[in-house]
Amino acid sequence: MILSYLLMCILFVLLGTAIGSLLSMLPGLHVYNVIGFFLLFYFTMGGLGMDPMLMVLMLIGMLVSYAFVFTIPSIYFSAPDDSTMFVLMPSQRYLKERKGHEAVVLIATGALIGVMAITIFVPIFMNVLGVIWNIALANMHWIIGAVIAFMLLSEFPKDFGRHKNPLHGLKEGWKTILAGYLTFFLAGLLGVITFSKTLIPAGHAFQSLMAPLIGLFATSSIILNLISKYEIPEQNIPKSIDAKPKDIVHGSVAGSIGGLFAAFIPAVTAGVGGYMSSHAFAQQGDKSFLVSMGASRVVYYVGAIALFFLPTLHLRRGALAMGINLFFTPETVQQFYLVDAGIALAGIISFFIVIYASKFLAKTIPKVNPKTLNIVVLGVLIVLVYIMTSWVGLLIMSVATAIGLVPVLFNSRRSHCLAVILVPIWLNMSGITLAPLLGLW
Amino acid sequence: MKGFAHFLAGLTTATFVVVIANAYYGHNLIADAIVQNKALILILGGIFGILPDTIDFRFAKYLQRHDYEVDMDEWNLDPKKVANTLARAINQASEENREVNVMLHTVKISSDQWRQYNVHFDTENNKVICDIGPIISGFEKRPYITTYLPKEKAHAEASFKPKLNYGYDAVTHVDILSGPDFSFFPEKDGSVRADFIPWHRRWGHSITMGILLAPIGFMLYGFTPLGWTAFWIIMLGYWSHILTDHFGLMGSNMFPPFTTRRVPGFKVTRSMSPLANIFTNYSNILLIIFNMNAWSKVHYFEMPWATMLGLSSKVNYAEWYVVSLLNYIIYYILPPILVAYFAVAYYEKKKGYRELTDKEAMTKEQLEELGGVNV
Repeated sequence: MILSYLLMCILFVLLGTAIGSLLSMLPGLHVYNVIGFFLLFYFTMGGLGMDPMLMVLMLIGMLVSYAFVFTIPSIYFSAPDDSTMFVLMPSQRYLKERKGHEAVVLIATGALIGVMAITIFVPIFMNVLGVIWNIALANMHWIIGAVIAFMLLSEFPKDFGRHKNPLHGLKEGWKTILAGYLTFFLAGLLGVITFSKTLIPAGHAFQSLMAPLIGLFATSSIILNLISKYEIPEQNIPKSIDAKPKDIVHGSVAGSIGGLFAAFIPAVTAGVGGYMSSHAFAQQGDKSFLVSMGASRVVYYVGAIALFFLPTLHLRRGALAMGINLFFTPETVQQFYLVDAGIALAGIISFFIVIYASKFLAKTIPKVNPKTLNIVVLGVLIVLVYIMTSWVGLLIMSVATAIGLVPVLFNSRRSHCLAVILVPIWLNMSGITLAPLLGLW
Repeated sequence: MKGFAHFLAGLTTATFVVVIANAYYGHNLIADAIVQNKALILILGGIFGILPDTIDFRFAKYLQRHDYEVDMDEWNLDPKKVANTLARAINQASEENREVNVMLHTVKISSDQWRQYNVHFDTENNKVICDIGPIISGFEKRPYITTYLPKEKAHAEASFKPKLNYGYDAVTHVDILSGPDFSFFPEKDGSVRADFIPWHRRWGHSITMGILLAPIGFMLYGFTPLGWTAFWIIMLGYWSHILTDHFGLMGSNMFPPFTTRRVPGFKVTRSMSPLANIFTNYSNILLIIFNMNAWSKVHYFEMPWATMLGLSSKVNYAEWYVVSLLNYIIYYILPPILVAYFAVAYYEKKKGYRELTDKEAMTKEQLEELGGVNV
């Protein structure tokens, strides 16, 4: 009985991993969008008469594989999301140097170590995490505020020091900074509107963030590729990657801690967590950074689920934890360890899927005209957004794309686009209500 | 230290100010303002903790005037021009008895590629040597090995007359983003002192500036307990940056306009060292958690030493706090740091890593800050 149940559990993890991997290859499609439909179907069919834990494991398989496999469209199709956006610059550099596959392997290695960190360290530090959560809970408003302040203050001028006089220098230097602040303001405003009023059809309300996120991160990158000279040369597929153990260890520790921070603190996503930890761990060099972003992303998405099942915490963070909580309440330590094992299994399989998919694409993508590829990806995104959120979503995506292009064109940090999530949640936690002022209530 | 370490140090300082202010005003006044009324006063610590670098890199940098600018491009690489300009500036500083500034611009090729060149101050033979290096890529500065120039085109030397006091690594690499600048100052003994990136760690990194900015606390909260708390958070948060930087090599100019030179740092650590940054950040995060627990109405953890001594936060808060903090540092902060430190030291010794000299580290520290890595 126990053995057959375990086999069923493994089967459902594998099923989730397979579905998640396939869907994650589609640029712009977030696993949370798909999980929403899965849950809708599951509830409509009365739970399909199956053990809820099996459904939980399947969804976890989907999430883990998404955290791994979405690296592929981010790098090869230049369609990142809010966290892979941070690896876009270094990975495109790698692509140009025929090392796209190496970039994927580095990110996947970080992700695999991130999975190991979750499965091993979260149970060990179970009690400590519970205590920290209790202490931090009442202080979330200023912690998120501090994250925002750091993001804004750490933007530095990117001029090249050529100026006629101090005033000209200030103008040149502050161009990028002000563009960054404008992006932050506009993305924050878009976030406040999105969170305060459901503009898309009510039946798709759980997809309300899809259009802004795709616009801010994916379509803006693709449009940039379309208007600039963008070529993907023949890619090398080396037998081993040229990275020192020091880079791997440094990157994965930094990324795992950044991801855990993001999983813990509301509004902070994997990208912000990884970005902050790269500062905290004084990271230098692309390799360590790519590893850290892989780890951060996985720990953020998957860690949120681990924290939800953690017996001392049951923290509901992320759309999957909230979705699962609609039909399942974690109660026992056994459930936690089952989920932990499911995460590990899905992580190992997803790692190999990413590697093989990357090898395939590294051989195939250079044969495709990059402009054609970008137009196709843009088309896929438009169709997806239209199906999920109707024409209103397309309109929101267009606005978000325009905002997302500001930092790209002025060479400021694209991380400011994350204000779309940070600002509304921070305002909410600080008891500041802007919606009535904007006529949204 | 990196910007994040400064930001966190400022936040940590702010939490200590809140603990003290809370005890001073009583009735959990300040903590309640933060936890229940959602005051954002603590963020001021982080903001003013990172502000000295913000001032330097966003303002002071642009106020620096240059007597000479060396601006080459890929099709006009001239190492002689670099060497001659620097030598002339050194001579001029001595002959005209005034400060002379030189800016060396980077040679940008594409959005991600630069031509590297190196400047070497040979203080023994009174020579400036310039060598044009390879084209490099990205922040990792990977060289394209086929892009080196032949030696006769890549190398040039120029002589200068006065004795040069140059406290940095002999070789400076000029490569990505914005290039470095040098100030040459005439000294009373007839020699010339060279300052690397002269606008950095001057008035923006001073105790004086912290005092001048502190009244912003009253502007935000009036002359209320919160206003006074903000006053101290701003001043001490700002000073935390100066202090943290001072553990490195370069130091800061502490009391402008009364002092004009940087006071050398304590030389305890290297500001760009990952380990130093990690240890600082780890300590700060743990201290913030400790202080949040200390001002919370319910203490989610108690330290055993305070319990053993029969101390209670309700009866003798100050004693309870100090003993608990000491206990916390000894149990949770020091051991991981010591273990990590010795493990890394053992690993580096085993691998035969060479520790940078003070001069090398100082140059690296400056160049990394210039590249925006530390901000």
